[in-house]
Amino acid sequence: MPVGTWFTTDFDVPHPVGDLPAVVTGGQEPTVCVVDQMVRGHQIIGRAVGDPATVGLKVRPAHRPLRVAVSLQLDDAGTRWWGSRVKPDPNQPERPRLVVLSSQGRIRGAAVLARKQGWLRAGGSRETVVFPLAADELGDDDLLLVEMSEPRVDLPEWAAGRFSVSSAIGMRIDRIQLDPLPSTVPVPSPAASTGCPFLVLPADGPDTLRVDVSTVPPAPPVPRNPTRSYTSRKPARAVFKVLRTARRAAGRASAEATGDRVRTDDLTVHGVDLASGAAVPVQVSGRGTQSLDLRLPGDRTGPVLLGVTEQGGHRRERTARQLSCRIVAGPA
Amino acid sequence: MWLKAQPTELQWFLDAATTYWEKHLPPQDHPETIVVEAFHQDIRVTLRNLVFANAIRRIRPAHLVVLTGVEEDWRRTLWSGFDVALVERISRAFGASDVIDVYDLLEQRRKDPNAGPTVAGRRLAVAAPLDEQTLTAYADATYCRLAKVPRLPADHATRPDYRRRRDLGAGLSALYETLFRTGTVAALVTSHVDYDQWGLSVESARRARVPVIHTQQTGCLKAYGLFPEHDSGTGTFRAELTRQIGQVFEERLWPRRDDLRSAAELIAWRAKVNLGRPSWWRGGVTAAVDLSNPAERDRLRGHVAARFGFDPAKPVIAVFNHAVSDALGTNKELFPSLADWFADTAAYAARRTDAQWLFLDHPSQALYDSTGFFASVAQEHRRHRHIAFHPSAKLSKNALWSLVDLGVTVRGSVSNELPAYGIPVIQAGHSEWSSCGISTVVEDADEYWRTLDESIVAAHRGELTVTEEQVRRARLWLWLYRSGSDLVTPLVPQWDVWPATHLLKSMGAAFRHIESDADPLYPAVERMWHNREPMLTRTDLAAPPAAPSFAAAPPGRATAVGPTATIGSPPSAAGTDPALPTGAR
Repeated sequence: MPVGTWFTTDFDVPHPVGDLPAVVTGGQEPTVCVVDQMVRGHQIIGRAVGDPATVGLKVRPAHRPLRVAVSLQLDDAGTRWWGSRVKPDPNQPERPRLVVLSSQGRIRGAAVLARKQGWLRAGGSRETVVFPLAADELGDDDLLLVEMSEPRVDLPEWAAGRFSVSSAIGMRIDRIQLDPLPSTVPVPSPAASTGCPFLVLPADGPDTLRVDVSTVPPAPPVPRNPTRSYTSRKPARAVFKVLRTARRAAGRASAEATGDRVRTDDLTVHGVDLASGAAVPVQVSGRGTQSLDLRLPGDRTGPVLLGVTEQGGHRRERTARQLSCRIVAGPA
Repeated sequence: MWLKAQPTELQWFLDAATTYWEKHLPPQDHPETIVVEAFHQDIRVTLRNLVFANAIRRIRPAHLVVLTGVEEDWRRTLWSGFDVALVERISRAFGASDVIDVYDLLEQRRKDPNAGPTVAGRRLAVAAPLDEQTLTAYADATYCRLAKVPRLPADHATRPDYRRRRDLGAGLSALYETLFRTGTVAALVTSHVDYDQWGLSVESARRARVPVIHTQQTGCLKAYGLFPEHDSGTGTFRAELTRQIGQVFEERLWPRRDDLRSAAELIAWRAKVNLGRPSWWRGGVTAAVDLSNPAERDRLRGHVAARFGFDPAKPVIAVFNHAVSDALGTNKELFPSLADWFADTAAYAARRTDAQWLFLDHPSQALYDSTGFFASVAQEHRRHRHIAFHPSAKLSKNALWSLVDLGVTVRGSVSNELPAYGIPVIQAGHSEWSSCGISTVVEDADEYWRTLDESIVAAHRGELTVTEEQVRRARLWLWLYRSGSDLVTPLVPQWDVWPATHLLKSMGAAFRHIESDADPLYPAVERMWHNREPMLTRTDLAAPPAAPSFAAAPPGRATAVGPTATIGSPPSAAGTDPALPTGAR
């Protein structure tokens, strides 16, 4: 008998199977069957405590192609969770997160999230990854797995070291929406700027696109939860908070002084396929004052990470405004 | 001991305990003594010893002698703080007549060889220690533990700290021999049976034919007992227990498996969602299992295997590292040390590329190893694609169960947990449950390699599996461990009642306000004592259930009420009213 036959006991209730179309918004819902390195939430599906983190949904197979929309969010709590588990260098600024989503054994999509940095605090960042599933990829008694992880391929030098390691830790999966295809149900998809000079193009995305490039304030280092008894009490923590706010404001002020000019003539765009690790040649077909028109090859199989680099090299991470890009809807 | 509690709370607790035990113990005009150890810094450990000893004193009036003290190496390696005066206060509250600081006494003896312990008003002349072989074995194991090394270093005989360890062991053994050779010791109650300060007392007790009660650091009150009538004298303490536990399981529990099935199934379900676990198992969100059938397991397996670069279609063998300096030699081990077993198994795995191997560290290994042993073995085998070394804390139980087809350990708890859910385990040594037919226990190193070979072949044929009997036995063991042999009494709060102020409040309330009639503690200890049973049990295991109650839940139907058929009311002790000891003061 295969292993798994004895996983149940007499007191196990057969797991209820969700019907499609389904919108799963809470970790305590019966549709959320299995979690791996993830804490179940009540208003959200869950938050990752490790990298990679997986959630398994129990849904009835539709025997039709499915569209899966996974809503991710990076918030302050997630950044703190990441800081306490990864324990980065205290001087290292908060770097954007690149998470790769896999499902049913294959890489399906990716997302780049970077928090919006303000004078006193940072806001959150949301992203929705949409991908199709073939009809035969979900069987009877099966699970629909969605796994978040940092990229498994080696990133080229224009991207290596620019992202947070173990990027899945602390990320929230807010909701997962499952619709049988073809579907007219809209998917929540905020087309905000990524907050960093990277963006992800889905595998089935357009071959030509226009990208707006602007600047955003820099990010200070990640706050760490104090561990010693004297540092974890309120007076010490109040002092730390004041110091952090001052550090944040100083970095922002210094960045404002250097200005936010973007010269599109100096910009180059690189691409890498996140599923295979192969470089993707990106052609810049047009340059506007704040935008670039890009053309990519049509034979892509996985999500592509695009990175914008400047001729003068990388900007100083904590004291200069950073590049940020956004896909403008519609081909060039 | 180390106790971070409010001083007022502690005083309140001590007053409550003193008053309670004054009236609940018979007058102590007998020359007999019960020896209790108090070497551990956690108050919960010492409380269990003291409560058990007092329960014996109700049956067999005796003086309570508490052995305590702390030595520099122990303090540095293990304890955060140790206050011997606190041990004295708590012991006196529990009615101890003598509290002996053994290390202090050893210091005195170094200056004045005529110094000796005073027990029950009598000064005892110090006897000779045990033989060299025994002393060396305990000194070696203790040295490894305190220095946090997996094996003795090659030059250990010349090291001054090793020699000091040997001298301390000899001194301790002399003291213990003194205590137990008087012929008036009714029992030894100890929380540990390994290392010099505990193990040598157990050795002396066994040789003097004194019953040894071994309390456990989990649950409410759990204890094993080795009585001289059943001590064959041929093995270590745990080896003797392994045999006896196997007998109890076979003779009293296995024939009742149909009555106990419902209870065992409930415990197996609760164990899956991480309820009722032993105190040293990890908890948290990554320790609950949600998988329920092979299809779900295969789906998750595909993802988890990809993390390690494994092929999900080939078998995966998980080797669970031990805390490498943890009680070396305490029970039968096939290899000279836990580290040798791990390193040799890794070398074997390097050659067997037809299986995939996942070597997991021990989550607490930083407390037991300062040499980076796991990392060094991982480094040695880093080039092999079919072997992965991984910290076990970074793998959730869902991921682990989806990946593991065979578990390998020496005496780890995985060997009773995994078979309860259908995953076979090979044990390269003995443990409490290794005689219960749960896992595959091999008896020598050749058989170990042969069993691994056969298991890999069987895995490729799809025949590597547990039998239904093994699953039933494993689930019955879970019931025995977590329920049958876990005594619930208001006098000993469950292990997780913590921090200390909560614990003291809970115990203080029990002492002050809970009347002790039919307190399950006393009849249970009496039953264990009179029948010379190897473990303390909630109810008499041999008796059939008292009355039929809720029927077992039909499979697949949820029920909020668990079965209670097996928990009959504890039999009241014939003739004695536990609230009124004879000759109340």
